[in-house]
Amino acid sequence: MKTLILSTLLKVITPLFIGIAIYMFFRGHDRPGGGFIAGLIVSIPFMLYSMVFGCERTKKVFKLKPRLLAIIGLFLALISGMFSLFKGNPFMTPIWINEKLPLIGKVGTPIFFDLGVLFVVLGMVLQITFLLTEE
Amino acid sequence: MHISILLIFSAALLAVFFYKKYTLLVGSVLSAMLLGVVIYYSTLVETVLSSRTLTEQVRWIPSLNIHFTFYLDGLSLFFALLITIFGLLILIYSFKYMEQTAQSNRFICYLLLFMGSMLGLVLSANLLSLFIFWELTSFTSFLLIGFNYQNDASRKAARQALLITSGGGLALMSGFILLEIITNSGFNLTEILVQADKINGSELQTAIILLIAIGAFTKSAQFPFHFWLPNAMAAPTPVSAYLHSATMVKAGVYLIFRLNPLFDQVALWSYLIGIVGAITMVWGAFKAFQEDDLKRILAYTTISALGIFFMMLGVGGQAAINAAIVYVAAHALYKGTLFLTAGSIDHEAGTRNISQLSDLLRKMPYTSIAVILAAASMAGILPFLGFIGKESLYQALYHTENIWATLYLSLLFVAGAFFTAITIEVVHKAFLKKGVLHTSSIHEPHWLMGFPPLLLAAAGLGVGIFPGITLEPLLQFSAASIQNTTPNMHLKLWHGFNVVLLLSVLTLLSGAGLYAVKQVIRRFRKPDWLTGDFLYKRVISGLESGATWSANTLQNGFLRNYIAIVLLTFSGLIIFVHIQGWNSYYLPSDKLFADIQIYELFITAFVTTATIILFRTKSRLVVTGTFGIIGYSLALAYTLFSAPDVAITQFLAETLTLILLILILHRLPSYTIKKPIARIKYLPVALLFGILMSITTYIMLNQQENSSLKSYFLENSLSEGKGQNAVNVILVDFRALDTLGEITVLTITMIGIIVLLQSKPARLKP
Repeated sequence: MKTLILSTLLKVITPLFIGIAIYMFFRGHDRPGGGFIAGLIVSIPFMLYSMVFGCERTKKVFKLKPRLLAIIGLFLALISGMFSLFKGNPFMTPIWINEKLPLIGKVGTPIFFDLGVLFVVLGMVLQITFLLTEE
Repeated sequence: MHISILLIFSAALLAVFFYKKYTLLVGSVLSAMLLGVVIYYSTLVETVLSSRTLTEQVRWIPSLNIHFTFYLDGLSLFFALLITIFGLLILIYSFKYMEQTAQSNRFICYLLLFMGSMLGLVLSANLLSLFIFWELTSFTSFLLIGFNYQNDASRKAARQALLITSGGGLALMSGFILLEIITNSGFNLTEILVQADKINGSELQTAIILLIAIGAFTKSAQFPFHFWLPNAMAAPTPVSAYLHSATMVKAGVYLIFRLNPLFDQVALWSYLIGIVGAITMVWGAFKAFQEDDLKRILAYTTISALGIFFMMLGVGGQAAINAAIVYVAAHALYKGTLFLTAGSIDHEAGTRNISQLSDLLRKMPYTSIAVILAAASMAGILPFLGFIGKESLYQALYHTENIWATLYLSLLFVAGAFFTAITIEVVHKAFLKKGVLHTSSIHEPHWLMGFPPLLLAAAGLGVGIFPGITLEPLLQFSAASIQNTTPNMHLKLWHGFNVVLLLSVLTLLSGAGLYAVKQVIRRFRKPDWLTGDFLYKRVISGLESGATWSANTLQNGFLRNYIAIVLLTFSGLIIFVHIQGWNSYYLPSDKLFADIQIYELFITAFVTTATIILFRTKSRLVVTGTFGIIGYSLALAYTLFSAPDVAITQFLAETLTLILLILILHRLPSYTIKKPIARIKYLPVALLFGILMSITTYIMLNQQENSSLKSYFLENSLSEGKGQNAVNVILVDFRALDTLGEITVLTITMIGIIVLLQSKPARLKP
């Protein structure tokens, strides 16, 4: 499916989508958004990329193995819940840093948990896409 | 104590990573570590002999009051010493025995893992941790039996041993849970043991006894579960010597010893254990005499000896328990020796069938000395420990008031005669007789393999001559723990001329007589269909064909079938729940269609139309499109009902699904059901599920008015979760564990998809 319009457009929308995803990710805690949604948004341009240029080229652009990304995400989510164990609290008790950081806002272990969700979703969607576009 | 267990587990890790590369260094370090553990437990003998016990606790699940509690008294120390001393000797033996094996590091690792688990088992004072260690020993035994996994027989034997022992483990677990229900002691063994009256007064008593007995019988290879043990001889010989003779199979014995104070007044306990033990004892001895393979002979005599322990416990009373624990020690010493020498013989001569062996006394003199010493102990000849053991058994049975004692005594006599006959046969055929091996060049094994059995055999002799100053002090405290009495045991080699001695001599003579008529005995065979092995195979093949049938019926490869089954099952469950809880539902009668909006009707119309198209169409492209319509309509509905998070997710997921569907559209085969009318049989399923889901949603929405959850999440989202978006706070904070479960499922699904898409299936016929 070689279309000039889509392939030109992709160069523009890929960074745009990633930007939107980052925005959605960080605003998720206060307004609609979050890791799941951000993961889906990031996967869209890569999916289109895979449709237009085939999966081999997309794999080169994406660099990481998606299945590895998903597993990293799972571990990230798991580990983010373990920090509280060191303080003697139950698994998954959130820990927040009191000061707000510029742009990002509040920082705490739930952010890493959400990032883990993002990675799992992104990894899974791209893994399926790559498998389906493989020849 | 827990340090020593951890030390052994870490030694296992050390072995698996470094043994292959630095064999000599790691081997010495491992031996030194185990020697340290042995010394540690030896120093504790003093503590136990002064009637003190040790307790250690490692916090595990404080909220449930469950901990790793370790407890050391005479009984656990006796077993701990047995495990560590044998473990050290067998480890040293294995270094040489497994030298030529490709994965010797794996072997050493498993062996040490087993050792740690077994030590944990006998030291646990908490039934849950005891159970975990119990299962760990089954598991490591599985790994060790199946060590030669290229061999089909090894794999089958490993699976059989695992299924039988862990099946019994399940029964044991149930028994423990029942104990906990009655005593409510946090699985704490010491607390349970003092509540014997409460347990015996309970109606669950029979169930507890049966369940625990099944656990012990399977683990300790008692009739009718004994058949896994001879098959487990597929394991390398050090494993047979250690797990399947000296330690693991004694776990069941240890358990009933440990729990005996609870039930020793209960008739069911005594008779069940006594009779099963007696049957096993005779049957094992008889079967051993029919075998030709040295290791299988030893396996059956082990089964028989385990039967003796159970039987003696069933008899009960101080003398019987004392005799049982003495015989445990005697058996460990002679059987360990015999197994190790069988391994050496197999290693050097290339066979362990006694009919093919000969001349070993001249070819392997030191090994032969060890075998002859140990075999003499097994036969119960003066002045070996085996003699004292047998004398004590006879004495206890002769003087006890148990009504079954005469039967037990005569059965023990028969078993003893078989033991003697086996001893005569092995020594005569393999060691004294001239035969094919006369001119061969076989020789003694390496001294690292030579000395452990010799040491054990010599110990059997030394302890036999001086029982009073060697084993007696510790053994009497072990026996005291089994029956909750003060220690009282007097071991003597020579009791003078009396009935018991006469029995001993008669046993030896009958053994010789049995050997003379062995051709007759060998001919007797039980019909195949009566053996446990046969039944086991029938059960396994039955399970396999049942699984094949259900898989072929339920999972026939058509997606629609899977979905229909899932939906029907789910509907059934929903109906069940609703029938149960119908009366407790709050259902407002008036507001079903009260404030319906016009745009809601539009969405409903979209979805309904799309569904009807979906039902009638023959084109996959149309299906893809209509799916999109349904999905986006739902997203619209979410927006209208102010659930922006869900709506965004729905939009995105819908888009991605569409793209994915388009990607594979050209690869999909055409529909196998050509006519839309043929789809009608799935209509009732769809309707049923749809209606049920609507009803459920309606009920759930109305119940929320009574629920405090919704308001809790909304009120605490900012203060507790630091976020204004309650949905997201629920996802990543309040209910993060659920989310973790969901993303785990996602990852597993991904792995499943990878497997499905990467395998190349045979093309389905259209």
